[in-house]
Amino acid sequence: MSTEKQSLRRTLDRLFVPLTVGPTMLWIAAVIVYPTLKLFWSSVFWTNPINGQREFVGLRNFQRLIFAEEGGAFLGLAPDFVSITWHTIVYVGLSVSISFALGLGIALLLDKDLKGRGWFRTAVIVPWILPYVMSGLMWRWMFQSEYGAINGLLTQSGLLSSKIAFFSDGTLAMMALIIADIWVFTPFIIIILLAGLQNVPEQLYDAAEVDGAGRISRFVNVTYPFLKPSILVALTIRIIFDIRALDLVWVMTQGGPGKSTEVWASWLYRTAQVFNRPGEGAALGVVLLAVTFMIVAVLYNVFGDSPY
Amino acid sequence: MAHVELNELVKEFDDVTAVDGISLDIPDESFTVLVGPSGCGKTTTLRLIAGLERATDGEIRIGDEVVNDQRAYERDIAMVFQNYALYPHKTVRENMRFGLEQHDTAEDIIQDRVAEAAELLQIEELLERRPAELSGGQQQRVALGRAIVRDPAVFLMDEPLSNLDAKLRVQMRAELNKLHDELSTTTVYVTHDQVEAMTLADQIAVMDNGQIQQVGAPTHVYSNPQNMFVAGFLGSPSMNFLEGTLGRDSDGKLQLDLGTDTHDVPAEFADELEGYIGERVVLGIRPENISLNQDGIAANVHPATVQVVEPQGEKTVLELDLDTDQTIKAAVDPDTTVEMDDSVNLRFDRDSLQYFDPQTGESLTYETASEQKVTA
Amino acid sequence: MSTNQSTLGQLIAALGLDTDNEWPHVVRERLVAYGLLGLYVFVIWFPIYFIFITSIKPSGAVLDIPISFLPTQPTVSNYVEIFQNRPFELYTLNSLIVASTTTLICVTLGTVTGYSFSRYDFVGNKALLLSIVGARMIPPIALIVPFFTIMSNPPLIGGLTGSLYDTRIALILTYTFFNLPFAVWIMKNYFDGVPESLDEQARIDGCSRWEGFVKIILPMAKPGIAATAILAFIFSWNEFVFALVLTSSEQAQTLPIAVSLFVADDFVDWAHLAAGGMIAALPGILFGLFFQQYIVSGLTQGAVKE
Repeated sequence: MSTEKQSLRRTLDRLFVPLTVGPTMLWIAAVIVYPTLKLFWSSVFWTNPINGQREFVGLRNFQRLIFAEEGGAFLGLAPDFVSITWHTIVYVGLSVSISFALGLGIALLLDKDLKGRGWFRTAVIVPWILPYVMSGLMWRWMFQSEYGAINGLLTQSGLLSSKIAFFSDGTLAMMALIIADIWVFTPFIIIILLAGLQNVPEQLYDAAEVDGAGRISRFVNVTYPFLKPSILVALTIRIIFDIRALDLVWVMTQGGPGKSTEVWASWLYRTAQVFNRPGEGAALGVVLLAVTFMIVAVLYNVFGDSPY
Repeated sequence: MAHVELNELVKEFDDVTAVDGISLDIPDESFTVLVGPSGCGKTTTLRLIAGLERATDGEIRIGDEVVNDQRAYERDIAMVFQNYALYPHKTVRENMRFGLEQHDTAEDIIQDRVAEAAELLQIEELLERRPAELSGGQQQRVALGRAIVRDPAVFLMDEPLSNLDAKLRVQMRAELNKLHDELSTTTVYVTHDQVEAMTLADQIAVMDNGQIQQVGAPTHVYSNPQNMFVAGFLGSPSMNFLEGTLGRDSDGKLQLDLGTDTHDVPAEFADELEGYIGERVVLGIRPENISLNQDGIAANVHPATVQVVEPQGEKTVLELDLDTDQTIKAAVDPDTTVEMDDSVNLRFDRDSLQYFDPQTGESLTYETASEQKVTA
Repeated sequence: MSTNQSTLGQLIAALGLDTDNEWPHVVRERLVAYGLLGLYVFVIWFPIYFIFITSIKPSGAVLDIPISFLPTQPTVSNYVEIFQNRPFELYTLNSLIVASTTTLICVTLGTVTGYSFSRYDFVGNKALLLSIVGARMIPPIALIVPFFTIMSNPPLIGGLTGSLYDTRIALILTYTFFNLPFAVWIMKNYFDGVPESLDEQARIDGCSRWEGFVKIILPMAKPGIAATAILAFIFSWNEFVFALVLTSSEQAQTLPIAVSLFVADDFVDWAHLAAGGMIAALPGILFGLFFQQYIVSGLTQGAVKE
């Protein structure tokens, strides 16, 4: 081999890591780091909606969103902040806990030695792969007050005498949202937990059966310890993705009726884009970011070690 | 083909010195086995020769060339990995061809070499299969075949038999021996299995703590260990060590005081051990060199009680308690009829004794012992 | 009659429900499992079925009372009309271009970078990897304000391109933000499962790092690359929020936006919406039915493994 060719190969080899990692890091700096820094920067400015002039306001954007005040007098937390936070907690809490219970059940069923398991698995995964917008609109159509399938089924079967206007009532609208959310995201739980169930050594089940352990005892003593890391991952990702999800809310209720289904994601979008208040939108973004990292930290401190 | 020479070779990883100043001469056409417990630096040494690791210090020569600065892909070597490292997406034939293609070998030569190696290893009918379709033994052959077609200066083998089951391992061992006889390619072979080392090697290098403890022909190293580590590592069950204080008996002959028992040191070691009178000395005796005294001669026997009887087929291993409370193992004839708690007298074969310094572990009688073996 | 009985018997045996051959309690559990799974599948597929039959009903029949749950007069007119009356071919094209370009970028960068992260212990390896994991946690919606600002007036390249608002480039750049860290992470985990001795064997066979990567490792990584590509494609194809913020016309709007445009303030054109929704859902359904194992392996590589 000629020495030039040899030295070229060696030089290229020495540059392997810089050439394979460098571009990605630059790209990430451009599309992640820079926008994130810009988010913090934007959150301390106020933009005049009329002439577009920007003015440094410090933490005033945060203050205005979170606290109620009048003429400098502090009146406690802002009512919008309190109610929207509550909606978010209800929405995320109920969606995640119900879909987790459902997903765990289905995953346990799918982990059994059944014929046609692959077919079932394919069938249960599909909802998660569809565009959320399409799923949201599909459920809006299902719950539609006159021509929706749910009202149709309930009245045509004689269970109900008159149709329900789901989206005119805050509680029912929230319920519709939660059902759609569960429909969309349960497959994700199933996939993650099924993978986790594969880690349970088959022999332990046999040993537990020989030991005479019942179904519940088998789950607690054999399945759960192996499943714990997957449960943690499934819950973490599920929660932080639900907090940020705008798609379903926006196409189903737009936060209505009134503000009864307004959650943080829709509030952020409305503030930044609809009301054209980028400073406050950015401030909400900062809060959302902080809350996400806090939730991850808390979950991992409560549940244990393995990092997300 | 070429000889390999390591001079004061050192490899450091962060804060660990894996290879600590090794010098070793691997003659052309030799089959050299690096053997030692895990973590002794044998695999790192092999990887340094391969060029997969860069030497911290020292010199590696393949043939007459210093190869320290050559990359693995520039060295004239072939390697067989423990897990075979067959490319799963390539057929057996493609696996064997790949190294030659990378070295711009002419197509007709490639075809000839693959055909030859396949015939030699009897894997002709496997050539179009993929590794996943092969048994462990077959994969092992393909990995060897891939090394053979390269016709390199040196074969490097990293525990190539350790993933095979016991029976196949013995079979492949014999085949490796035959293969080396036929090809005569210089081979460096790493294993932790001392039986493998003894049966395959014509030169064995026992390693511990990143250093070579002893180099030599397997039988020589086995019978004449230079220190307690080598003595204890080679052989199964391993050598017994009995520690005592060296003194003189009433006739002025050297005698090891083992507590409630004594051991007479053979006269030929008198010169070497003279200087250790009054010091602690370790007696080494292999289990197979211990016999049960049945003909009633009283001199040089050691009373003991049988604790465990372990028949192994071709021999029976006894675990015994000496009167001195030391435990000792003896490998005796399978026909021997002893039971637990029997009191027996042990006789040590006086041509197979070793003496060590308990502080340094060094053999005190290496010179005399090895001379004796040569003349015998 | 006897043949019927034997086929039924075969079916029972095949499903593992034969009490002569299995413990009764096992058979009972299996029966319950089949029943529950069947019910669940029926319930989750019903809405998909309903929106599908809505899409093939004549648009007037959608508002018939009582509601018909069977496609009595199936028609493709809704599908034809959305391409005639709205620029659905442009929306579809935008979706295809944006999703495939994003996928290409993320898979290319993710593969080479994931490989280096898996194999080389370079300075800052841990810190950079941690930053990639952290980047995955950033809620995309939090960044709509900076992305809107940046795309309206891009720094550095702004002088060349002017505003990127309402362009496909803006969407591609944005989508790499949540797909690239994911791609690096999946591929790193995938390469962790490829024994390093194969790299070393390639080196012994005479390959430089690059040759070994291209000739040996890359061909072996096809399943991992496929999983990454399918997920990146689905995520980009389905994305809605940034498309809503960063586009305003058919020159960049994607299918999810197009479908949402059927919703007017006081009126929803359900028949055409259903047809558009089915088109938007098509890749997902196809991927789900035919490449399910890649989606599952990609998600688990990306999520569960450390």
